[in-house]
Parts: sequence; C-alpha cells; structure tokens
Amino acid sequence: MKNIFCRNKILQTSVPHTAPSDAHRSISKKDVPLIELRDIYKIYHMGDMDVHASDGLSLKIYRGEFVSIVGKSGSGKSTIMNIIGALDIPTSGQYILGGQDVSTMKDDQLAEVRNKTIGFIFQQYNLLPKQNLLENVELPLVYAGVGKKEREQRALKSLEKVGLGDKWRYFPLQLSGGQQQRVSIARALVGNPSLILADEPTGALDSRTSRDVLDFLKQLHDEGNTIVIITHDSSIALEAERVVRIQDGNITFDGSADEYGVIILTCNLKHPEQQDALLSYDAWHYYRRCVRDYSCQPHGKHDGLYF
Amino acid sequence: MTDYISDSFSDLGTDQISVSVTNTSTRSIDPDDMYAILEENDDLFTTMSPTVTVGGQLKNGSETSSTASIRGVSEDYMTVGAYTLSSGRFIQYSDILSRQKVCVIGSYVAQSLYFGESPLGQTLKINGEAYTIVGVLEEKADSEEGSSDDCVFLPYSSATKLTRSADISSYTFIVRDTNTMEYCKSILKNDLFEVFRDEDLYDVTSLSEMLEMVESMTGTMTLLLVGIAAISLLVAGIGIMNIMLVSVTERTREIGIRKSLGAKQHTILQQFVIEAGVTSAIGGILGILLGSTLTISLGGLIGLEAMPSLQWITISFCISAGIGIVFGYMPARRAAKLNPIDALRSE
Repeated sequence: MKNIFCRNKILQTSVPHTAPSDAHRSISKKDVPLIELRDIYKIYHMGDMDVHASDGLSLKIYRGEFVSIVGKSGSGKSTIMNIIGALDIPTSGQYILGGQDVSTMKDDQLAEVRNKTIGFIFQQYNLLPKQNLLENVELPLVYAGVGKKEREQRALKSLEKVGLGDKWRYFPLQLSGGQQQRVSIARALVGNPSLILADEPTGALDSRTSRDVLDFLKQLHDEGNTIVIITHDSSIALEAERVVRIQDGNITFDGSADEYGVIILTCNLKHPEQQDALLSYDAWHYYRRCVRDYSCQPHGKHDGLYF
Repeated sequence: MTDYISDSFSDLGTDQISVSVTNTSTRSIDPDDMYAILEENDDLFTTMSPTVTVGGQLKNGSETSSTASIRGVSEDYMTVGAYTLSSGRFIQYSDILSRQKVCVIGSYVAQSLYFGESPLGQTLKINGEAYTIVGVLEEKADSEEGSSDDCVFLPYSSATKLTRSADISSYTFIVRDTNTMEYCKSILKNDLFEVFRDEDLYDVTSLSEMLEMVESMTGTMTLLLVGIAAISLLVAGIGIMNIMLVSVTERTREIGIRKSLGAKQHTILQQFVIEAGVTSAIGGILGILLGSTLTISLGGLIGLEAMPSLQWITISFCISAGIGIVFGYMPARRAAKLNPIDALRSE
C-alpha cells in the first residue's frame, strides 16, 4: 500500500507498526463516516483522449477528523476536492456525505448540500469586494433562508470568533490577506457546517499569517469540527492529523501525519545510507525529535520538504 | 400634434355641412332654392348661409392687407360661424336685398388697418370698391394674421359683384344635432340630385368628415413615430442584453462564489433579472423626464402646444422595464447555469 515514488526509486517504508496513534482521535471504525467515497471515477474527455482525473478512488473520513489531502498539480486532488465539496459529481462511483448520496444530485440539490453541510475556505478568499464583511459572512445564511435579524447576529458572532467583530463595516479590500482569510473562515463557520473544506488556505499568505490560519484551523478542530485541507505543500499537510496523498487520480498514501513526516524526511535525505538509517528501528525516535523541533519552529523552515 | 390639429378644427364647428354646387345653364340652384330646402327640413337644420369667397386686397388710406378672408354671407352667418359683435351691427336682410355696400370686419382687421380708432362708419376699400363698416366682431382667436379674426363679411348679393359672377356656388348649413349628420347629408344630397340629376355637379361634406381625414393623417404620422420608437427600443434592448452579457462575464467569479455558498439557479436568475429590470426602469424614467422636457420646450419653440400624454408615458415605462427583463433574462440564465468550479476559476 505504501509504495511511494521517490527519486526514481521505490522506497519500502517500514515505519514501525507501533507508530503512535495518540495523534489520531480514538475513532471507532463502526461509526458512520461523514464522508465516504466509493470507487470514484472522474473522466474528462480531452479531444480523443480520456483523462482519468480520479481513477477508482475510495476514501472514508469520520466526524472530528483533521485530514489533509496532498498532491502535486495534476494529481487529481482538485477533482477530489470538487467532489468532496459537492461542487461536482463523479463520472461513476458513489459519494455519501452525511448519509446522503451526493453523487447523482442535480445542480440545485448540490447547492443546498453545499449550503447546509460544507464551509468553504478558498486560497483566494473569494469574498465579494462590494459588500462589507458582515454582508459577506451573512451570505450562506441568506441562501439558507435565515431571517435578517438572526443572520446579522450569527454573522457578527462568527466575525468575533475570528477576531474581526469590530471591523464588520469594512470592505474586504481594506484588509490584509490574513484578515481576509479570517473573514472567509468566519463565513465558512457561520452556517455550522459539518465539514470545513479548505482549498490551499495558506496559498496566498506569507509564512507568518499562514501559521495563524493553520493554528486557527487546529483550534477549530479541537472544538470538534471536521476539517479537510487540500494542499500541494507537504509541510502544510503535516499540520493535520491524517494525510492522504493523491497521485494520478488515486491514493498512494493514507496514514498519520507522523508516518508521512518520516517518509518525507527520508526522501529528502541525499544519501541512501541515511535513508536506510532513517528507516531502521531508530528512525521513529529520530523522526519524533524532528517533528517536535518542527512544531516548535516557525512554519517555513521545512519549506524544503517535498517529494 | 393631434391635439393641436383637432383643436384648430373644433372652433370651426363640427356641426357645419358645406355644400358646393356647379351651376349649369340648364340646371342651377340659387339662394332662394336653398332657403326652400332649409324650410322644408326645419327639424334638421337650424340655419343656412350662402358663402361667396372673394379674393382681394383691403385698403384704408395707405394701409393695406391681403391676408384677410373676404366672404359674402347672409344675415344668419353670425350664428353659422358663432361670432359675436363687439360694436355696431351685423349684415341685415335689407342689406342683402338692396345690395348695400356695407361690411363687418374682424378684430385683426380693425387693429391692423384702424389702429384703435373706431372703424364704425369709416370706409374700407375692397379691391378698390368702397364699403362702409357697420360692425366690428369680438376677438375669437388671438387676433393674429391669418386667424379667424382676419376677416371681412359683406352681403352675399354685394359680394357677387366683386367676384363678377352672379353665381353662388357655396352654402353652409348648420345641423341641430351632430348625431344626425349623416342623415342630414343624405337629405341634402337627395334634394340636390333632384335638381342637378348628376352627382358630379354638387358636393356635400361635413367638417367632421374633414376632421376625420386630418385625424387619419396624423394617425399615420403617429404610427410612423411609433415605428421609429419601436426600432430604437429594439436597439436599446440589444444594448441592454450586451451590457448584461458583459456584466455576467465580468462577474463570473462572483457567481461562482455565490453558487459555492449555496445559491440556487433561480436565486442567481432572480438577482440578474431584477438588476436588468431596475437598470432599464431607471433608464426609462430618465428618458421620460428628458422626453417630456424636450417635448414641452421644443414644442414651445416651434409654436406648438405639445403635451406628453400619460398613456404613452405609462406604455414607454412598461416597455423599457420590460425590455430590461426580457433581454436581461438570457444572460441571467447563462449566469445561473454556470458551473461553480469554472466560475470560481475565472479571473
């Protein structure tokens, strides 16, 4: 399962099975998953060619998880994010979100699913520039048909939660990038969605504000929210508890962030002996130390982490 | 336009029937015969007057006027034309019998040839012949050149001398009830046919008929204007559609955001259709304001009392708002059907 292509060489990762599971919440596998993708295919027709953007992918995500889906551009992660976000439907396969089969829904039904169950956080914030922060945050509630008074109260509360309650009269372009992203988080939270879906949430931010946003997402996770981050950056992916790596439309890795970190470190070592050493019995302790250092370090030191 | 033309005709009287005849050596009709017809149909007509139109020049000393309409009429013409006297008397039956050289003048003639002096008893030269002024008429229009105040009336018997023809070819009848107009005309036609035995020798027309003719003419003109308006509205509609299409393209991202947050197709459709409707309704209001101002001010400049009609204001407002909605619908539907993924990706 854990075959990872790395520098033209297949590494058989042998991370100890004693890999700590404390990072994982104790999730009973008997629970009904919040998200269940079953054998998802998404095929685009490009001229004479069929492109399999998703090639028989299956995935389960449970309530309360913090998952990052990582992959290079062209790996099919955006396709998966669109399907998970009910923005698109698969060519074949089933997608069950909160007990509902989303995979065969029509445009308007999908809109309702997005409105009721998903909070989006986008790379480009996607705020409406001509409306003030309050109106922006209110928007999902407008489409949910919530009354004006309740709408305003909830939107203001949500803005307060991200620390922008006093700025509700401002317009998005009067704010910094980090603040705008916080507004979009407030907008994602306002409808109490069961899933928060963040597409490259730090893609447009500098490392410092990225850190803030990620910390905030972690805080939301601690409060019990289910969060899925889509990213191309492995160092961002490591912030989650569980990492799902996608390549060529399928999952090539699905495990804890710790395990994923080991693999990345391994792949970033230049010499085969170092790689071997890392994958030995002691590797895990070595890695733990790295991760501990890592989490103490400001984000960005590990920007070189990719494979 | 229509108002102006109808107005200027209505003071000529819609209860008049004009009869013109062409007398031949064997078959002819004279005022006495006509009076006989009038007496026979006393229940239909109130009065009748022969009218002799004289072309010519008026002269008082060195003052001349050649615009006045000079007519030979009977003593009843005051009723026919609904005139009132301001001083003196009108033409009398005795004047007609004895072919008196007397005349009654309109207020414009009195003003332009006598400059406020009392013209009564003075002499007015009509084509060189001297007539004594016995009466002055009350102002009826606004005492302008060429108006119905620019007139001179003389006994029809005297007027035939000026025209050098004993023949009287034109008569004006007044009907009691305008609803019986058609019937009155047929009575006149029958009587005349008995005399002339040839329909080409006489003509009976009512003023209301002429009015209808004029109205149909102005109707054609209105139709033409409506046609032009329709074309410009179509062009405007296509303009609105274009603007809306541009707006949809420019706001693709916004649509994507709204859809990703749960806006349904009909919500987006509604937003854009209302936007188009409101935009063009505002345009319509501006257009109506501009149009009304221009109509009144330009109308005043060329001397027409032009009033924007409420009916057309309502129609044009509805059309402009309607055009916005109709032509906004297509781009709006396109916006509503956009795929949120593609819409979000656009810049």
